[in-house]
Amino acid sequence: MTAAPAIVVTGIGVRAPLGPDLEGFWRRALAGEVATRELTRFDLTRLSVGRGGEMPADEGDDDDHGGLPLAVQLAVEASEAAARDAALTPDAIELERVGVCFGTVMGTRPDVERWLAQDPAEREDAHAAAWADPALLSRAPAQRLGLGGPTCVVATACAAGNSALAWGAEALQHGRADAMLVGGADEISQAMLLMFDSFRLLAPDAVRPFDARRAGLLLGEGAAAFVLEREADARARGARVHGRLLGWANVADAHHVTAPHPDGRGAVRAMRRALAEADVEASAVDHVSAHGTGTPANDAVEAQAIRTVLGDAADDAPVTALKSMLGHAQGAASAIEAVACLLSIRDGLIPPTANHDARDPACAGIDVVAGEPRRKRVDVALSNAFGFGGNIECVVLGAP
Amino acid sequence: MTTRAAAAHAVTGSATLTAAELDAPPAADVLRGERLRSVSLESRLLLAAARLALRDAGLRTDDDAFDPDALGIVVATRHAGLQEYVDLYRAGTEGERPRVNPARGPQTGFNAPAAELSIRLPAAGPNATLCGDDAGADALHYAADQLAAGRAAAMLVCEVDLAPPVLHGGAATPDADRASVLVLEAR
Repeated sequence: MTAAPAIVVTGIGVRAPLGPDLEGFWRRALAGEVATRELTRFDLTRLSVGRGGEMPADEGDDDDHGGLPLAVQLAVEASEAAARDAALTPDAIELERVGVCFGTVMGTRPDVERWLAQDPAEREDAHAAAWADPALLSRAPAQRLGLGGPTCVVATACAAGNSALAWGAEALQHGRADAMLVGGADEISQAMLLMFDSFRLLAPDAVRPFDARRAGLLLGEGAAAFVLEREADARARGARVHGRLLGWANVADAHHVTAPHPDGRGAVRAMRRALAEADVEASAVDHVSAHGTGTPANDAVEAQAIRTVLGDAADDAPVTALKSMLGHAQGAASAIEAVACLLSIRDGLIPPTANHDARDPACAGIDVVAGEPRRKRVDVALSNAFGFGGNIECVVLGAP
Repeated sequence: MTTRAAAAHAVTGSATLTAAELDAPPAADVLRGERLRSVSLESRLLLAAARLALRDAGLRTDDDAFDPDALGIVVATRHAGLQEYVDLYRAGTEGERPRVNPARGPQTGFNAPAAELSIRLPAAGPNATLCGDDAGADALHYAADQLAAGRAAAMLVCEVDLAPPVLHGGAATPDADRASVLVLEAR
């Protein structure tokens, strides 16, 4: 069989509550700044917890892109930034051969809340409404940037950002496109706040991954986008390479809709398969970006799974959990975390896990970065993403 | 340009089911014993169609030789979970206080049918839900890619959608609500 072509990242864009652009996001992530706060767009009287990682109203692009749902606006803005970063111009690449794939939990669906609140006589036709058109999440960035390749939306719950990276890489490896714009995007919605509140899974004040006092997650929102190319093509056009997408693995935990397998069976399988596909030994992993939701069940199982996969090498693979700062940005979460992995590779700095003061003994066996950023050369980063329903997608990112 | 080599795969089973057929044999037979009270109509339809397709393919998930890790799922959908989302939103925002049923919350996502299917068969291989403009064709690509890469020995290539009442002014459409499943196996 022909060896699969190597895939590289040539553009990065991010829209997250920590900052309006890539470097602002990174500076504040390294400082361990916490972006979760009291929410402003929702009816908090119906909730026991009214906090989350909401996009600031005064940052970023003022354009609502013709009234598009917020998740789509964020996807468009992150895509524009990634395309600029990659110099994705008609001179550099045939835009008809550039595809788009975004991952999401809910995509355009939250916009149905606005529609339901309208006078039924005034509502637009349901079939024409954005909330009934999930494909808009990838179609809108494609239209904005004039891209004519395949478009896809992948909805693997909270693993979706990583799934979009994998989808894009496979589209390139099979020759279905010459470049892929991929990423994740989601917005906070009243329904998702109500759902997590009904589970009693929302933290009362802050997200504390792997900490003894962790009490749950907070929802977040945002988007991150990447330009992926086959390495040979990227080098031939003189593109700057941020890093390599070395491997990925998608598995189903196949255990429970909302709880991980107690032995981390799916997580272990996904990490091992991703490392095997990357042809990387566990001992070569320099850093793990954890799913790290701050829920009692996830963090203990994930810590054990990381230790199982890396063994003693876990002592030399610092772990961080960006959700401590951003909340859980759902389908955008793992895409934003992949951004941080690439910047850790670039700068040799791993951001701290915020709010982490006292390790839970149930989360022993991993080295959680806390308090301040860790200086360490990172050639290989493993990034975990787990979703409701048992969707798991792990990716391995490497130095250029 | 160097790309991955293509490989040939075989369709070994199939089934299509509408909501109107769900409560009668053979669908009712393959759902017997399942606890389905908190499961969406899409998830029930897909579970029944998948079991019928596996039976058509001669694949038994209760066989000792069956390896759940080698069976993957990809689902194409446009509206999976939409009605559940609307119902949850209304339960949480109407009336004096929220009355959200946490057991039904996970059914609000696009991925709920694929997730329920993976748990109940079980199928622990690759699992994806696609909802783009060409999700059906994308699902075939995805399944073929997973088989070619050796990540699964068989993939259930599925399509499930309802025309949910929120789109139709409250009217159910049991003849139009359907799930289709192909069993694709590596040769």
